[in-house]
Amino acid sequence: MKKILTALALGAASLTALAQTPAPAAAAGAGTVKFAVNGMVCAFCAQGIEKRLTKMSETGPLYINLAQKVVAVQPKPGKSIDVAKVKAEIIEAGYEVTSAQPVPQTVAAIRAEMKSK
Amino acid sequence: MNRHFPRAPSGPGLPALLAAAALALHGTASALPMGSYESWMLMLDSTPSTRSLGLNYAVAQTWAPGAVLRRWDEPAAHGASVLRESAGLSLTHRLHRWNLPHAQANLWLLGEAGQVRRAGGHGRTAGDSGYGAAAFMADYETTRVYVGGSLKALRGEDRLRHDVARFRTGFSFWEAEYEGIQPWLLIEAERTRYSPGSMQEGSLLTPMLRFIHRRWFVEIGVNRDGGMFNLMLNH
Repeated sequence: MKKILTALALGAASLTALAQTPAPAAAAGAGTVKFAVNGMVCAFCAQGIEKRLTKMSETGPLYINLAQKVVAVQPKPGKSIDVAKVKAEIIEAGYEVTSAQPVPQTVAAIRAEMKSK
Repeated sequence: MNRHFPRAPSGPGLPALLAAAALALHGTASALPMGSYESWMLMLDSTPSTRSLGLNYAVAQTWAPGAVLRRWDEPAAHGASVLRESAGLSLTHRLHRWNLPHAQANLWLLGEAGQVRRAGGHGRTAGDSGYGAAAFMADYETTRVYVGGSLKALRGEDRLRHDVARFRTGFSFWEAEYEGIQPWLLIEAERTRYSPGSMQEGSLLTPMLRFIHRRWFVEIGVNRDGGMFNLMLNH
């Protein structure tokens, strides 16, 4: 009888402990947004995009890939990318934005991924 | 001011639709005669007969006023040449741009007006006169191919008249990274007509290498007249 009660107590204690274990934290996204841009065919022309985006207070690392027609913008720590504002700046630089997609990777990871292709 | 020649019928008030030597009579038909909105563009051009320096600022997406200084040797009759120097104000306007998935195409209008000085005998200045100029340019470019052309005309007092038609095409050796250096091989065909008194015409073929690295744009070429160098900086 004592053994059964001891086993039940241990089992209950284990269940309680398991119930109190916090769930694993969700993976934190970098807040990066990837823009697909038409008309970017040379760095001399497209560097106007870099100039305008680096002036924005919320933008951090930036990656431009002419072949893939991609501009990836990562926010500075504690900030977020205003998609409409960034899109407007790219248009002001003289280009056309066809899509904007939030992605979890950092700009460094996107750069490494695209270079490996 | 005494003038040795009768006034030309056209003067510095010509419509901006005429073609011009806005970037230099032997200047470039580059894909980008102005930078993006709120950026500066500096242009240096040098050939055996011409030196020019231009600067403009994009006050709007499609408008960039600026200034141009130029010095050139112009062929005259009987194998002689005339040395001219000019200083003018320029205005570059992007008429239209097509941003395509894998290409970009542009139409441009350029205008210029100012003063030109013709050196007299033994290098003495023979007097200043006004001039006006305009150009129409078009270009189509991908990450590997470039095609562009321009029609330019300059008119001024002192029977000054230059018409230049230029066509340029080429390719990039490889598709470069945005941060990398991209080399190009191009060839330019140019047809020029001068009239400082009698009509002189000439054609020129210039193969050239172009290097692009972010805000730097450099062209080096050679033709029967000698070497050419063009530098553009976009800031």
